[in-house]
Amino acid sequence: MKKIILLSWLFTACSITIGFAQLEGKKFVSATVGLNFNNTNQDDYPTATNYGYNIDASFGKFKTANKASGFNIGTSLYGQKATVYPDGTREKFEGITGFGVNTGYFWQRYKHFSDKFGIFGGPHVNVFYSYSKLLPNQSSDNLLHRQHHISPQFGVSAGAYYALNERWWLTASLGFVNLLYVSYTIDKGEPWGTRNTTKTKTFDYKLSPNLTLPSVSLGLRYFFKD
Amino acid sequence: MKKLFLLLLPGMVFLAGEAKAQFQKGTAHWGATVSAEGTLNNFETYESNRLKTDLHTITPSVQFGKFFKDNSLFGVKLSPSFNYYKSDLKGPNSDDEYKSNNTNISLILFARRYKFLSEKWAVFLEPSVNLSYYHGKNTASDDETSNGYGGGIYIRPGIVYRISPRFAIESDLNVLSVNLQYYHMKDWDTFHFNAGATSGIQSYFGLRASWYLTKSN
Repeated sequence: MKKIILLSWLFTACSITIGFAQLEGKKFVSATVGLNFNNTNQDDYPTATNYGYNIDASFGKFKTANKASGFNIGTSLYGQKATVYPDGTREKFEGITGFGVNTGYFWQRYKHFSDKFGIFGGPHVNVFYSYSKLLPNQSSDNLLHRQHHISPQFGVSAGAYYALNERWWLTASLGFVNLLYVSYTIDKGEPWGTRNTTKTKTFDYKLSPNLTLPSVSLGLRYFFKD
Repeated sequence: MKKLFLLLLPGMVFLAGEAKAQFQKGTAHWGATVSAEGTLNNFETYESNRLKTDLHTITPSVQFGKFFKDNSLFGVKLSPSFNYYKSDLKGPNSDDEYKSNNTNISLILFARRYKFLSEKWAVFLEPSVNLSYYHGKNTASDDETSNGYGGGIYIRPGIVYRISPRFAIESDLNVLSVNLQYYHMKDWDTFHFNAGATSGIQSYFGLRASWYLTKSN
């Protein structure tokens, strides 16, 4: 929290610009990796296990000292081992319950306040696809759901960086505007073990010029050697 | 996040001492924003029942103002909101259609007092009077319409970021809002009185594009 206050203060107050000529032509990568595993043991119930990973990476290049652009790509996969109770009988379920991919392109403009510290912002486009399976005990209507979800998005985001050294930057997201959001979802629900499928197709759109302040997420950025 | 803004605000006011920039008397101000949202849903069961629902909402807003003295303006804002909903159920034993159409038109008279914090940033305080007209129509087996009107008084602060001398992005902060509202509906006669002040800040702010046009630029 302190950090954002500081960042926003400087954002408001500073107008010093320092030439950052050595950034031109530099390539960088930043990534977030998540792994999770959890195991639930409950009295009178069989053990349930969830596992999964997600990787998001972005690759960019500084065209000039104040302009960068690049693309991002991400993937995630989730699975579980659980017991479901269709009609009071026990059945085991084991397997993949979801996966997702996303890709996009971003443009960023920078304002360097010093050789250590600055802010950046710009537009981005992204496309998300995900598949998920909801077991009957996880869905409100007690059906097995299979869901395909695709969503292109256009927005503007802003962040700040702090240069730890020549190779590494610490970045923080400060806010984003999701200007245009479109999504298409196909959901198939069926009672366990039957083929009596109900099918829901949903198309959503949203044009919303709103500034959202996220809880700050920190990232690391690595600069490649030339 | 709320804490951050409360902490920032006095900071911004403190910085105001150094500012030289201002909006001159006679400057014209235009502002506009739009938001839209919708869902199309198609639900089919294996017994070949089908439910289709459509929901659309669009809320454009335009405003115009004129500076009657430096950093103070009078303005008028027109902000309609259109809402459309349709559901259609078809099946072996059923055939039902329902439609509803709601329109709300607000005419807002406002005054603003700006205070510049730097060349780029300014804050403003905006007291306003809101007059609104509501028209709703539901169609199931019969048509049913309802009309209403209302009025309110609001005070809200906002913030402006000037991208160029003529063009800026602004947002109403809603840090402290006071509103009085009276609503009268024709068919079911309700009366709302509602006054409040809040120091809560939402985590998102609606943005508006705005123009400041002086004769010299």
